[in-house]
Amino acid sequence: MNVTDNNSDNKAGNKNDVSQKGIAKKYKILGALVFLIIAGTAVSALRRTAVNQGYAPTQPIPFSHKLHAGQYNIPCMYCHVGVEKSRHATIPSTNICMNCHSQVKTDSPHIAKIREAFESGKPIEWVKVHDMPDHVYFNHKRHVTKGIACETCHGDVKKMAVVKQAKALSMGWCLDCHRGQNKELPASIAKAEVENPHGTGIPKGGVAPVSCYTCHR
Amino acid sequence: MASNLDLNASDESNKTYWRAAGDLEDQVGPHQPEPEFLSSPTREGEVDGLSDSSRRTFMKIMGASFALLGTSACTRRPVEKIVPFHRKPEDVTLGVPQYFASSCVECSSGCGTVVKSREGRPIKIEGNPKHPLSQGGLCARGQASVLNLYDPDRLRTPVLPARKGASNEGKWADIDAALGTTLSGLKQSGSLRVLTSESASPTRRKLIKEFLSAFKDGKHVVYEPLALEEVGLAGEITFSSRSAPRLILDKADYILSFGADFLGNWGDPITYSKAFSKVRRVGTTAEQGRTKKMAKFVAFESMMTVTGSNADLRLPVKSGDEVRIALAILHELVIGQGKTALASDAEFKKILGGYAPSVVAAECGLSADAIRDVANQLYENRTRGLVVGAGHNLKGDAGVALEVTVNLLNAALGNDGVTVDGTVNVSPVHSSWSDLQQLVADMKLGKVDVLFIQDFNPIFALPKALGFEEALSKVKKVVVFSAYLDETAQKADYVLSTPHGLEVWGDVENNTGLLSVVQPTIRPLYSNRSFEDSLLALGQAAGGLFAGVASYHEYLKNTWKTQYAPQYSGGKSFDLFWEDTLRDGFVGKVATSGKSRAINLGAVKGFLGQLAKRESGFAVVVYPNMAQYDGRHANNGWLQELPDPITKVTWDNYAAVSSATAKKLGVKEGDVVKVAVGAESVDLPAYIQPGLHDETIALQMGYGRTAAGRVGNAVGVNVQHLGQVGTRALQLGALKATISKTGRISKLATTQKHHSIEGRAVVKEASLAAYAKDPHAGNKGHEEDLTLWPKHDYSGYRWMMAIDLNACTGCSACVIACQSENNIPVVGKEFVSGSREMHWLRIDRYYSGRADQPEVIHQPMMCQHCENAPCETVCPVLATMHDHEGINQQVYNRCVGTRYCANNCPYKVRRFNWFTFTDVATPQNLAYNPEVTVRTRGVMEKCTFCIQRVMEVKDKAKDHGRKVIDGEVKTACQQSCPTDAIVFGDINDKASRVSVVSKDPRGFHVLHELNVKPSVTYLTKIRNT
Repeated sequence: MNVTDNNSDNKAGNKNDVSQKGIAKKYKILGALVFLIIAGTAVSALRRTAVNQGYAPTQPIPFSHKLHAGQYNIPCMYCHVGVEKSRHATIPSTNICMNCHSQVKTDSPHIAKIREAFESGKPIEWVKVHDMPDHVYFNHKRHVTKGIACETCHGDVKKMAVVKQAKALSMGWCLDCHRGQNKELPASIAKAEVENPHGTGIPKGGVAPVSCYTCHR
Repeated sequence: MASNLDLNASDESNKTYWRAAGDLEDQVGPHQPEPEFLSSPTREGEVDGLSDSSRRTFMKIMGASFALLGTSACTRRPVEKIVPFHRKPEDVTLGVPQYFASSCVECSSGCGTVVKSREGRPIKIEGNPKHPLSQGGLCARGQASVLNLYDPDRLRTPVLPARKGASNEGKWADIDAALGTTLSGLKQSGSLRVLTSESASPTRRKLIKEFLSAFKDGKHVVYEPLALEEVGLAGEITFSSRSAPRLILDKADYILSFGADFLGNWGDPITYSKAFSKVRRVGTTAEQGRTKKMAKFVAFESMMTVTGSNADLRLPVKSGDEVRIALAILHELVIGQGKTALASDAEFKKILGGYAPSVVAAECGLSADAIRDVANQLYENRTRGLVVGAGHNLKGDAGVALEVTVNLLNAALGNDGVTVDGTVNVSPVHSSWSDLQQLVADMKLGKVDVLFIQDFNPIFALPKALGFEEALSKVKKVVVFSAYLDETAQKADYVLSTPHGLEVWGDVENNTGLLSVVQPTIRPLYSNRSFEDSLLALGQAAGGLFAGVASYHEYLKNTWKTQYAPQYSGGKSFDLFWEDTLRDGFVGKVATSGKSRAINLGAVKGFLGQLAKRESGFAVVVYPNMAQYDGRHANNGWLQELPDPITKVTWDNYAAVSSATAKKLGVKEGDVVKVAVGAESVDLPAYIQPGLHDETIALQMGYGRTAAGRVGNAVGVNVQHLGQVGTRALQLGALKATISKTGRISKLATTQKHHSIEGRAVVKEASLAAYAKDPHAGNKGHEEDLTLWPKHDYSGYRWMMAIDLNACTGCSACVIACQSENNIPVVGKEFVSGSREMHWLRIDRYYSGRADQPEVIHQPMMCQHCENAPCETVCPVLATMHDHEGINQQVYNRCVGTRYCANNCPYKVRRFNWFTFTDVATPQNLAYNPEVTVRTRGVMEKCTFCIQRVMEVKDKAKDHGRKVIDGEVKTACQQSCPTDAIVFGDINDKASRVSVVSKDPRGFHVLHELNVKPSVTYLTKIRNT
């Protein structure tokens, strides 16, 4: 047994400890930085994932709402026939396009694509713009029959040559209206009393139910 | 298990309830609670040492993920496409369901159905509420049949099984040409036989007759093991009419059964359940039923059936002894008391001589007084009583003898014509064992040139002793019409693939005077052709038959035009009549006759004079259970996983023995035993069934398929091969057998101990006498308790449910209805063993009393939607919330899977999906209900009170600017219930049925002492003992 030896061993150990602590500190800072970068990227990515606002994909046929709904003033419901009957507004079937385009602008190469689809029976695959998650059961019929204009959620489609997602369509955005906090809503709706006043944290003058099962099931 | 029964001290019925054989014994030792929730399985297949995960692997393979269409950037959601119609059908709107009236073709009852179709896909089959017989009910099998439509193992083209590999696919044109040549040769010489199962379709029978008329030697043979042949044969002997009468249960005050499962799967169970529930209902208001009176139901039976479990008095008997007991009752009436018209017939008395109650009782191990009591009560209730035979629980010559005795009893007591309608509402019995025996004999001699087999699987279903397989090899050309390449189809020369029942036209004659239609609800998914369309095509190919008939649809319409329109159309044009029929699903009505039938006493005496002697030793009864029936649905995962209503076993069959026999043999549940009948034997795990006679071994048929498909293959053991060739009928009951222990163990996946509520008082009951004195009998002491929680404000709707335990028969139709409506996955045997079944609604079956003669209560159990829900307070992420209409909401997208809620749930109704069972590929995913989220793994789920159905009706009410009308919202379980045991509605509407029923003095909340204030009220069970 040698006391000195023991001490030197201890000193060496301490030295090691100090240097390791230093490295650990550096790593901590570096780690925190890396974490922040990753977290920041992730959060911004998640935000973009969750909210698709501004999304305007290219469609297989460059159908212009600006022309049809804007210039020619064709009512939305002429094509989106399900909007008053179903929770889906429905994308028009090819035969609706052909109602007019069997006569109108038949020489256009794009119309030729529609005609071809109609004749072959192979439907056109449009790209979904307003894509709600699968656990959301939004009902077009309830909103439209209540008197909420299409533009409230879809923006001024009459001016869109290429349709883009104008609003956030996030849960918070939905709840703004359901709680009567959306100033864009017509006064007749925004001031209506909710049918079943309930729960806590809902300001008076709420206009629609906000229970989970209203939209999720 | 029942150590905490003191909680029930305030109740007068202080019974001990138990759930499985062995529980009674367990009470002696220290109480060992079952593990409430198992910890997470670390690896798939690592449950209780079971490593056979092939079925689950299949489910996963079938669930090969949906490739999401191209992703543009990693932060962008996947691009999804919208594919609209190219020409939109006028009456189809995306998101709006369509409903078609049709008929179920899964058995010969032919219940009326309403098929719900979304975007052209049938997604749910429900009973048609307007149908005069089934009245909105539909059994578990009927509802589950929608899954078979999307079964990937179904045939997609005709098959030539002799060719190996992928080249065995046939072409319709080639097959028609080849068979046409063969058939045209048969017009002059040679023989053609068409073997089909029992079918209630008159037009199909007409078509087969017309088809066969063109051939020199053509004959139609009908056979189905589970047809009502015993009843038909007995009718032939007693009343000279080979037909099955209809039971009018709602006119009976006293019902005696010898084992017929008329509330389960014998006869017309849905109609019978409805009628039975009417005479068994008690209540304080006229709306709820008869006030203080209910019919008494006594059953002598071998294996406990769903029906027997509902009896007020159930006496276990050895399979085969039913005949003796019935004769002893007749002896007591005719000789003992000199009653009824038969008492003056000396010759008849001589035949009955050997069946004195004291003699029979001693032989059968009963008390003679029990037999005499039943005889006395039958006599007291004469013209208001009903005696029912053994049905599928005693198939064979003994069954015929029993049915003859039953006919005599009903006729002698004046019940015939009142509770038994054998003159107007009859169904002819076509199935003929003697015809089948003749066919097999002809086949063996090489006398059959061409054999058509339709909708029947003889190689699987018939006993080996009959030698069908050997006989089949001597037939020159075998043509099988089948939806699957099943055991018989594999031996055929041609397999003409048939579509699913939802893809075809057809009709059903439910009864004399009531016809239903079968209409397709989807364009056939594959290149299959119905049996009828094939007959038309083959007739045309053979030449000279059905010229100009384009399809069976046309043939059917023409038949209806000439045969039924004159009688039923009421002067309407045919087109209008046909449209109306398709809208309603049926024409005609159920007439009542009130006429009794004349007995052919000479034939009866001749028959009863030569009954076989009683055999000693073990007797085997082979019987069908609710889910598998005769094995036709073996490839249906919902039905494989449906717990048997009595034994609660899934994914397997077993040899049920009494606990005394198990002790004698030294076997426990799961020990494999060898059961031998004659030269044949089967090895099956033992299952200890309370209330089974000590000398009876009960085996479930329909298992042991080898060519059912990937789900149904090698599940259980085929016990139909044990059947014996009887003189009058196929013998499946009272088979003399031996049983021995093998030493091997095969674990059964039974749910009977899962989700146990640890012996607390969850069911309540009282006797009718006690109830008549005090409607609160058996249900005392639950005044409003104080609560710390703030009260909820329910100013709009407040949804509540009430379940009448007196009406629930345990038939399990609701379990499948829930599974179909709510996209509930199938998990497979090993996961059921690990307590991981996903059913949102289960039926708990409790025994009480003695193990050899137990009483049974069935209790449907689902989320109770508590006002002070224990689950809500423990969820760290607010994934389970209370809403303003009283519903306990589960929000899948918030749930992170802590499972705290499930652990805190006193009712054990929350289910956690450990693996992605739901991610199934086309075509299986087409069966999903698009109105309900398909849950992925890692989230908790449970009953939602069918919120999607509530929302649909609220949506409709808002369209009309009104409130929801009472009875408009029906949950899936409520809709399917053939006895109307479940009531759902708005309790804030004081006049609603649920408001009235919930206030019944019988109403109680399960575990009310926890003060969680459930939204489900149960009504005490009343026994007429």
